[in-house]
Amino acid sequence: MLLEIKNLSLQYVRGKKIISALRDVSLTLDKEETLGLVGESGCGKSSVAHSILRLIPANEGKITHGEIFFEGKELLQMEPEKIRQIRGKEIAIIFQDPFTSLNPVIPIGKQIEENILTHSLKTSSLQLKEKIFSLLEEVQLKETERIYNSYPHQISGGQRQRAMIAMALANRPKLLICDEPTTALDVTVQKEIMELLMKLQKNLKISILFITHHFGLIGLYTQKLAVLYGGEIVEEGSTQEILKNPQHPYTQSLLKSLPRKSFKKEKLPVIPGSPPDLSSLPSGCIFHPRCPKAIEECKKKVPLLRELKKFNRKISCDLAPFS
Amino acid sequence: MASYLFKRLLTLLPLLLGITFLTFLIMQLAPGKPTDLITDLNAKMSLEAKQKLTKLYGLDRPWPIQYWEWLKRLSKFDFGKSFKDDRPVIHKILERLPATLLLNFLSLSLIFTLAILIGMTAAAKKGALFDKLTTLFVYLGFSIPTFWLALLLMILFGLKIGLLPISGLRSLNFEELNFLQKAWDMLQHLLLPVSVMALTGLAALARYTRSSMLEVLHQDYIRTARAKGLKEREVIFKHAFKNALIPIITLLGLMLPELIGGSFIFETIFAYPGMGRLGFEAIMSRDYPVLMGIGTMVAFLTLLGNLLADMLYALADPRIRYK
Amino acid sequence: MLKLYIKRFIQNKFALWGISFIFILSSLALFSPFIVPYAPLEQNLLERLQSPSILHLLGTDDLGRDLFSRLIYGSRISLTVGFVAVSIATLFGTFIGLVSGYFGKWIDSTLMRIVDILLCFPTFFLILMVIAFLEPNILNVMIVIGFTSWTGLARLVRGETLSFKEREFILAAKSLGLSTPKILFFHLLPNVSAPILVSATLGVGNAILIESSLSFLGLGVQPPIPSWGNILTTGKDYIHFAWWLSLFPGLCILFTVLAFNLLGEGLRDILDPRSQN
Repeated sequence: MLLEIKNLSLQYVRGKKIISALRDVSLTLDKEETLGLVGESGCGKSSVAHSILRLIPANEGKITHGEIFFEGKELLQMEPEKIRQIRGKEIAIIFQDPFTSLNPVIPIGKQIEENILTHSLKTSSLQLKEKIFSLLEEVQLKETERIYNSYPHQISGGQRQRAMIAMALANRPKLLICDEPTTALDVTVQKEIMELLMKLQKNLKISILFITHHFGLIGLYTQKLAVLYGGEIVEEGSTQEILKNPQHPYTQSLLKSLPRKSFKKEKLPVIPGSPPDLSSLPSGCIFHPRCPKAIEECKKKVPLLRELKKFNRKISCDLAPFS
Repeated sequence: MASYLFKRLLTLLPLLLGITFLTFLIMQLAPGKPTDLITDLNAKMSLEAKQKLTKLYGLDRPWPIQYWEWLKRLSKFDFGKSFKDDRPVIHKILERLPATLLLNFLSLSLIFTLAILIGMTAAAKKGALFDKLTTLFVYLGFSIPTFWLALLLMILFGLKIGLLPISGLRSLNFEELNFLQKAWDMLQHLLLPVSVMALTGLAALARYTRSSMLEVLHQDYIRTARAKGLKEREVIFKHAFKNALIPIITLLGLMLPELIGGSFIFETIFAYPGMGRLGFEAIMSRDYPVLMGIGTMVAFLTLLGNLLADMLYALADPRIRYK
Repeated sequence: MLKLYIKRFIQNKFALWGISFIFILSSLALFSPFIVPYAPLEQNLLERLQSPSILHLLGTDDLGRDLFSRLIYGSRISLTVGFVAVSIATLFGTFIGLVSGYFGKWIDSTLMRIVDILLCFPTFFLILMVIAFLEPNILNVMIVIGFTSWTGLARLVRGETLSFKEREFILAAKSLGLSTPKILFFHLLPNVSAPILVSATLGVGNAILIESSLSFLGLGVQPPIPSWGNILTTGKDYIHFAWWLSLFPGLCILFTVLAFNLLGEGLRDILDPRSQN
């Protein structure tokens, strides 16, 4: 097993409010596997990604309990210097918006170079430049010379995200976290980027944690799937099986609200009601205020994530399975 | 870059004309016009001086002609002759200018370096003791009468400890010293005025740096830099600093006039042989030609400084350089 | 709304400290004749340059005048200059800013160019230059400080006006046929009043600083009228013998300006619509 998240709980502090962003989230990811983490915006998807790399600023949020194992090493208790050596080398991440995620005043080439230099011994500058050029070619960028010398504002959105990918893969990480990698891009570019990612995964034999609110992408590109709602995992299992036969009412609603052709229209799923206020959680099941199948019982009892053998998955709904 | 600078130069032209008009207007306040009744009661204005003024500025002629004459003389940097010693004003200014430029350049460098160090550290350690001390320092810096501070420092270092000379730029035996000793002598003389002058701008710039830095630290590209595994030092001083610098340069340009304005007080207090002291003496002895000359000079210097800031701004921000 | 602001004010330590100090100082200034142990102009050459004692709390100056009494009277000068100068600057700056932002076009560009030109001159030097042509006295000092410190506020108000003038309530007022002055002063002005208040409060501190510098240089309030700045001039002359003449007036200026700055920054937080709680 490459990555194992155990009972991760995270709280943000905003003034006097305490926002409980993640509660007892557990996930596993094997080598060369692709795990999709899906949910509406604000459900805590990105918080999971940031927690793995310990990128949550101490004055904003705190991991209250849980463990994250990467190749058997626990990340959360690790010395800052050790986790720094893992970041960008063993585990790399691609963010949603390549425009804001690239430093506007440093040329693309330099930003990639930095990533290599931090994690390796001195290389000659010629070798270094060659390496960066081959990385840029690997992500199918043409005009490598121009891109190398460009500042982020001088190239297109798709080119930026390719550069981000080149940067993330520079040190051949074992795990790549993709945090909504195509959301900020044009529809036509989205597919290209996704296909590039999948091709690279096959070639480089890396594992991918793929975070999105877009169910369409999940189905095409992942083997395993976890559905996150209000900071809790509500359903988890094989992607194909969940898509074919969703069991949790939330997953069902999400799939129902999905537009038919996945790449044609980027649309947020519409489910009646609004996501839960994480600073004052509802009693009982977290989904019950919006759940079409809720009964009186759901308001009182908190459902636990349990194995649903028959459907080969985990689910946190006491009423399931529905026939 | 070239077109950007050209545009900036164009906007300076009306400002230049405006400056000449404003100095012209101030000149109209000068007592000595035939219609001016108050001046007859003003003992400080001798009849001879009045005639000189009338002759110099042609105060008895219609004002458009006066202004035209003023412009003609300005274009030749001809400000007339000093009332005091009949020497050409421009000579008097030019022999004092280097000392003032030295003082301002040193103070500006000190402000820039210290403010950035303080502001960045405070931002990086937001809420910690250092940050709180910085806030305190900023409030004191905004509130302290700087001429009083100069006075206190003179008492402390000059009189009580006797460590530093408290006036002038050179010791009496300056000519007998060798080069190194000369430099050391000047440095000692400069230390107090430069520090006090620096303090006036330091508070404002440190505070601005802090808030600019705090804003930058929240940007996505800082998260990217951390995710790449860069050392925190590199994140702050390379990625954040380069971006925080851009607004700081703008403020530096805006601060320039206030800094030069400060020279008038500090050069007087420290008996520093610069243009500020010359200006102050001109005010006290109502040496109008010298005063007008210095006023115009100061405004030109400010414009020049703004142009310099614009150039630095373009250098720091590739989004302006390569549009 | 007012209740919320009062609540925030009480919770804001900075603002509370600032306003308390200003309140005490204003009371001292107002009732100074009843407080001071000596008349501020009363000379007593037998008691020249006395160091602080029970008799003279803060010592005496070169003419044997009681420093404590002079400082109390000095607060009248500082506060008067501060408030009058800021009133001039605020009225002028607000007016220019509103007109510039609301009418736009050539009016705006002309007014803003004038501001740019004024900003090319160091404010302090501009004041010195103008004062040099006038008789240095309290009235002139207040007027000159007032008419040279409005530029920043004008820019601020202009910016705020620009952001408000296309909003529905202004368009509605226009369509109702309200006169332009009415729209400007009854509909726009209340919406930009928060930053004006903050800037005015900070401005008082700044004006006090400028006045004291001018008086220190002999170009402001003239002796024998006591002002903190011109007492410091005496302090400079007797720097070797009478430290109290240099120390106490400076502290008066420092704390007064600090109080206005604390209040101003406090008000900024309190009136900021983005701040919660």
